[in-house]
Amino acid sequence: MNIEVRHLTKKFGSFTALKDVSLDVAPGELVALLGPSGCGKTTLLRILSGLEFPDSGSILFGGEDAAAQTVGDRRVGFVFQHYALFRHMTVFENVAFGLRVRRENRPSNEEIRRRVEALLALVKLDGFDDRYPAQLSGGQRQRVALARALAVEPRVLLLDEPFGALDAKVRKELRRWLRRLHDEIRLTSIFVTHDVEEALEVSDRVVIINNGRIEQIGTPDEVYDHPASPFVYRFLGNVNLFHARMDQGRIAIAGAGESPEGTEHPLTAYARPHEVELSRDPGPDPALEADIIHIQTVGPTVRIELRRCDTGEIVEAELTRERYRTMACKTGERVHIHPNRVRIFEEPKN
Amino acid sequence: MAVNSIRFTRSNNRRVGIQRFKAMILFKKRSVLPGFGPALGFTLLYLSLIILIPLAAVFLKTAKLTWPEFWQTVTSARALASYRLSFGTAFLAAVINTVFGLCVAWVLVRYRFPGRRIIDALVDLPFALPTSVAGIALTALYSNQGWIGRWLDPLGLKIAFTPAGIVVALVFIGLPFTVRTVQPVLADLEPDVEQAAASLGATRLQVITQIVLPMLWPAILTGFALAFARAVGEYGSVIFISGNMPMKTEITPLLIVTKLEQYDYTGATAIAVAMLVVSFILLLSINLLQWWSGRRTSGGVT
Repeated sequence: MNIEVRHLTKKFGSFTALKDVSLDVAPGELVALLGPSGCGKTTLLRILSGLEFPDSGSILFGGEDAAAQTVGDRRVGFVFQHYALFRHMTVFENVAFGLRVRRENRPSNEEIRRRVEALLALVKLDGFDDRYPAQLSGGQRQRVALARALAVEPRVLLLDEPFGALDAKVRKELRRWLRRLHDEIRLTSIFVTHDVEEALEVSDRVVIINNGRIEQIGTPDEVYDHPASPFVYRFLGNVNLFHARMDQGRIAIAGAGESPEGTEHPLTAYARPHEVELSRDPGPDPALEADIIHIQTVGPTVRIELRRCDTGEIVEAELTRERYRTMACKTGERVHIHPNRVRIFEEPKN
Repeated sequence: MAVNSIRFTRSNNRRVGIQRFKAMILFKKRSVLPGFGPALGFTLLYLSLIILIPLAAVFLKTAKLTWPEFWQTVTSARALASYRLSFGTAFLAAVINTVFGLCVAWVLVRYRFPGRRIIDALVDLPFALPTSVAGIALTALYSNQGWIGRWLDPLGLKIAFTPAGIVVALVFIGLPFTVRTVQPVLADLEPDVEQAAASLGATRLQVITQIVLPMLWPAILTGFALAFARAVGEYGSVIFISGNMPMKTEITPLLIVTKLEQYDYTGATAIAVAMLVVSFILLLSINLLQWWSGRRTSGGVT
């Protein structure tokens, strides 16, 4: 089932949650809606599900306009951040609910039992039929919620921050499991997240949203390697920011990145901490001088905070442990920084 | 505790012994919440003074009767008729209040409209109004000359001075209980759960009957129990509207007062004991029902 979203706009009072959003999702794709909180990603998902209605614009499910369809008619599976399980029902009854409430072609009891058992096996919860949601862990509850959503054989699966309420370890396990499950059932799925790692790891394509607008759509590699805007670049990871002005050439980092030539506009060069190299001698490239003010080891990497001698701005560098050991730098030491890969954006006027 | 330690400084052994005893009885585990001992002590004292001692006195007074005398008093035809009336009307009123209290709570929680806060405040009025005032007002309204009664009278419906009038009065005084117990629980229901049911294809009616009502069930039961208990014991409003005819519209509390006025104290307490025992059994079974329905969902979904 492919989904087409055309020029969607949604306002809550004076707050514009979505501005002219258009998006295509191919059948069987797993798409992440990624953005900071309040950017409109959840609103978009809820409009797709029919729980919320747009002010203008249209949604087509398989070429068919969904505007007139209620949430129940759309055949979308919706998974909520806080599970939204029916706490007075057993796991079995939760999953069976969507089948039991059917008015037409309701399956027989044996058929319901067979399908629920199959779904519980799919989400690795066989034998949990008679438990109540209160007796399950967060990860198990979310898998019940997923089985419940899948029970109605939805055309599209929508997940609202599905791992948001889980602790870090379970989160990681569950999202990998979700990816494998998706590869198995190939159901068109859209999930909302504010976690960059999660979006990049799980999805086929990432839709990055900011302030109700789509900033960029692309595969995880595309958005990470070729961010379309400074926002995307900053949002996808830590960045160091170097102001540059072409005509003056005061900062000699321009040679390291692709820069639009001959512009008079002020430019901004971005480099990720792991793309910043430190050395004791200036080397052939023009480099910046900075003092090390803080060194912190985080797992396999070493994070170094430096203060530039010329502007006093803080620069962050990330070294591997081996590199750190061979260099053996210390707090207070003066070193040269070489951003070896930078992205340059024109600075917005003002 | 400070007093204890001063008192027992000389006798070290004894002090240790006492502390160990205390630790055993009161502080099975070290708790970050201090004051379990004093709080429990106060609770017991308070409950004793307010509830247990008066009730014990009722039983003590009744104990002056021999068993056959007691049995004869509590099973006299007049007493039996009054139990039927009291418990029957209280039950009916509690059922009515449960249904309409749920409606009122639903409207107050789910919709925003002008005057909502005023209606919200009105719900508590039966708590504050002297029940006799309510009784007189309802009698005036529902008697065959009253604003409402005059329209019902030609239809052959008599409310005042019949059991129906008693139900009306009991509905009035019981309403706040059902509304106030259901309202906060309804307000706390996550909209997610209803939306989830809707996205699975449930109709609005199915969502209400299969999701919302079962989740409200413990609160509904509590409201029912409170309204019922309040109605069984109600005196002030009922005596005005019921007409107080023995065997027909005489409620048990009135029968007790009548016996007191005739200086039949033991007879009065005997009937009180009968009423207490029946009420206790009924409330206990409601509590058990609640415990049973709450057991499986305890812990809740976070």
